Amino acid sequence: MHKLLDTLLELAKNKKSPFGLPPNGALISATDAGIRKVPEVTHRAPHARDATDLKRVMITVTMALMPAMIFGMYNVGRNSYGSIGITDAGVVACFIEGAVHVLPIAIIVLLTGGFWEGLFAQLRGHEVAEGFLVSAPLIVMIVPPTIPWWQLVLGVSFAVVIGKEVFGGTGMNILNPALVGRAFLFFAYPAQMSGDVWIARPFKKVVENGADKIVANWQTTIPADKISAFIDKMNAGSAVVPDAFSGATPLAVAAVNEPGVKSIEVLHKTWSAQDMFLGNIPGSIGEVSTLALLLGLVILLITGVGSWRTIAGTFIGGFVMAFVMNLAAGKSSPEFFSLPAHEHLIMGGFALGAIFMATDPVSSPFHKTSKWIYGFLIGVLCIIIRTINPAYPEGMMLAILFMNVFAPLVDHYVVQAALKRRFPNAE
Amino acid sequence: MSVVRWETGMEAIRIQGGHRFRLKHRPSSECANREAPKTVAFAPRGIEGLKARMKVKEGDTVKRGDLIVEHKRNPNITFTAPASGTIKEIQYGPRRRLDAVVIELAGDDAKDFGSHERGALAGLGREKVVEKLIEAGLWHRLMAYPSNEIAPVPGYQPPAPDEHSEPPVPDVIQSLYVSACATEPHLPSVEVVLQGNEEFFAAGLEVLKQIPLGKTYLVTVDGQKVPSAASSVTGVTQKQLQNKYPAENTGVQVYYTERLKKGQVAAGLKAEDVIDIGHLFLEGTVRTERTYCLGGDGANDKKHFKGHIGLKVSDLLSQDVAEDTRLIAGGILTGLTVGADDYLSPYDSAVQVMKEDRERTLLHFVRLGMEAFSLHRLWPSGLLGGDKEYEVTTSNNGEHRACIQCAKCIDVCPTDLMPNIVFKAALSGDIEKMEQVGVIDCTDCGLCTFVCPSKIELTQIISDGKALIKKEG
Repeated sequence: MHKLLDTLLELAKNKKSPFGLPPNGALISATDAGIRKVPEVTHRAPHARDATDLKRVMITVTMALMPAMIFGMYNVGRNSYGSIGITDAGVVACFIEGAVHVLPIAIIVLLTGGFWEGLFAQLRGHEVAEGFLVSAPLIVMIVPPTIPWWQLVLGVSFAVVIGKEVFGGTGMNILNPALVGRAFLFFAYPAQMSGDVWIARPFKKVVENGADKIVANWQTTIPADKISAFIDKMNAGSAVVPDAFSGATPLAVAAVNEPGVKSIEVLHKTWSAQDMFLGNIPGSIGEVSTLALLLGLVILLITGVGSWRTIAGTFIGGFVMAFVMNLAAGKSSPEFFSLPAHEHLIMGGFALGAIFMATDPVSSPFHKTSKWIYGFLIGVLCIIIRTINPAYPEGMMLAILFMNVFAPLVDHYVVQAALKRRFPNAE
Repeated sequence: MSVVRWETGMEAIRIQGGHRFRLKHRPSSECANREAPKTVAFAPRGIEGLKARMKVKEGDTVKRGDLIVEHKRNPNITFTAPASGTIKEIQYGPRRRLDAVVIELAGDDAKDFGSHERGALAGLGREKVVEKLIEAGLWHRLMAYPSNEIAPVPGYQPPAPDEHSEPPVPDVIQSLYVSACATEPHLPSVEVVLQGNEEFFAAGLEVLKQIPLGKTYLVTVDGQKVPSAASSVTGVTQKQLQNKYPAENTGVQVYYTERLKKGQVAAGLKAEDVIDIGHLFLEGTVRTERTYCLGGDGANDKKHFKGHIGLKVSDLLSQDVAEDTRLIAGGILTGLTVGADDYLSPYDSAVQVMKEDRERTLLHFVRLGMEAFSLHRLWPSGLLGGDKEYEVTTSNNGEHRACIQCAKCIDVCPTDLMPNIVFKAALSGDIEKMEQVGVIDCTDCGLCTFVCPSKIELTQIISDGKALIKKEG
């Protein structure tokens, strides 16, 4: 392996093309630096350095994301089966079906993001920074499985270029790039980012000769006979799809504000709190299972990459605000106000946002005290947006982006206060 | 006369941040002798802002203790010959910076500065002590904090910079810190340094305590044995710090003991300097012996050595140095890279021999890394801590990146700074901002640079910032 890389590097240096490919020295050396330690030594004191580099930091976060990602993949398949009335498909079948939907998304995100990262690195004459190792899986996890691929390309491009590179790359961005991409998609293509998009159904409606017709989707591993059996039932009007697979997310169900509709009751008829905690719900690919996200949290906390202060602050803020909303709930207020406070924390993107988005060190404040304030306000804002603004039941994204903007301000005041308390050693 | 006992049960002062390094290739406490060298030198490496006025020229014969160099800006600060013989060569660096005055050893003529009885030392008085230290060229061992320059000579009025301005008010030495500890990897163990020199050490303390206006502190670390000779000296306050790097740093010691007002400085010395000074007052001559140690993976004899002060690096090593090997005068965290033909300065007592590590580990970032040394919990070493010894190399362990605000530098800073904002203030050259965020308290310990996952040269950037402040006044 070392020999192969050395040979490739040598070829790149001499501007020769390996394997008849167009010569691209930058690409080869970037790949080389990406998978091997660079042969750089210190030039001054301290003569030795810590083993940790950004690659280690970022890859650890990526590892921590994997439980939720893998569960998300399974869940996409489970929902797909569920949407044709099959609820006993088995773990492996669900996982394979999920992979068919999620893997193309992951590949598109990696290719698009990798292209922009590479382009900017080459333009600036820098190495490719590691930030995308985390942004890429995060973007995959916060989009619906049905997202059109061309929109995904636009979203990732926006995330990388506007969210990060225009500021100067990893470390310079003021907003979380993954959330910037998601916000772009949310506001630019609301039809594909909300409503009935959370379940990748193995069939679709087409218009043929002026009449609606239901046909099987090509992007599925579910046997065609099972799908056509369901389509036949649908056409005959006898198809039964469990409520849980109707397409709406628990948040959307709970947020329904119509006179006479007891939305919380409707919610609990379909999903128990346990379902929402384990992730047996429709939603963005990686946000559904609070349990899987908590596994990632354990990794973050053990390695110290994620700030426990931010995470605790966010959960406390969310719980407190949801509790306040419960108290404020009256006859004239929307049903959503009385959703139990703890259920807010396991619904929608709250856990994913609190554990993986709010803790992004670059876009959050650095001071320990600021992290508490920052996290708490994210939690509070998220619940306010969810409950009071019915247009955006998913408030976590907006809450985090909003606090990203205020992070330097929070830091400024906390640091000034800390400096005032600090006793200088010498005047 | 009340006798101050060494309180071994004294509670150590906790250092926030810092780290107790347990590294491989540590010198053993065994001590050998290095034979007398052919040449030694006075090499003023690490003396900030030294403008040298030469008092000798090549070919001159000097006695040990003869004046050879004067500080141009302050003629009170003098440097004397470390050995008797002929001036073989005067080496200059860029911009006529004095690098070394090389002396070829011949005979053992020593200038006599007059000796004192041990009992008479306590009554000498500040003036006499200072005068003698200046005469014998040992004053430069007192380094001032926070200026990081040679301590101001009491009673010396520096001239006005130009005819239009008032002469500056000289700083006063408020307190004096003697570091009887060594926590940086790998410096000579103070126990070995003191062996056989306890009497000189006590005598040195006796005279040094007369210099500061305030207190004299003797600083050790938790769990360290201290010579009984030191406890016979009255009027010296003993402080014990947690056994962590950088406990031997004067700035850190000041930080955990007192606050200096404007115009006050603290002077710091190492145990070896105190012995040299004690020797001067008891014997009347300049001491030639020094305790060195060799560490690092490239050193054959990882142990202590007694040798002549101002040794040539290759004379101390007395081994072949493999190609692509780094020689460091001082410790791993603060030392300076030197060549085998360079001479050790009066402040140097250790040389690290480290092979340059350009190993290209495949997928290093996903490995478990049982052997990797890190203060981050991302590796077993940082997560588990413990007594296991790890190896560090000269590898940068990564490439330079932008700061991601991981705030690890805040965790390790021993003087409660926020290095991430200090270095940004220093980068922007904003003096007011730098002072506001406490840049003066930075002790150049190098820990923030060590832990930075983005491999930012924080220590260098901050000390450039401090230099800017000094320049702009």
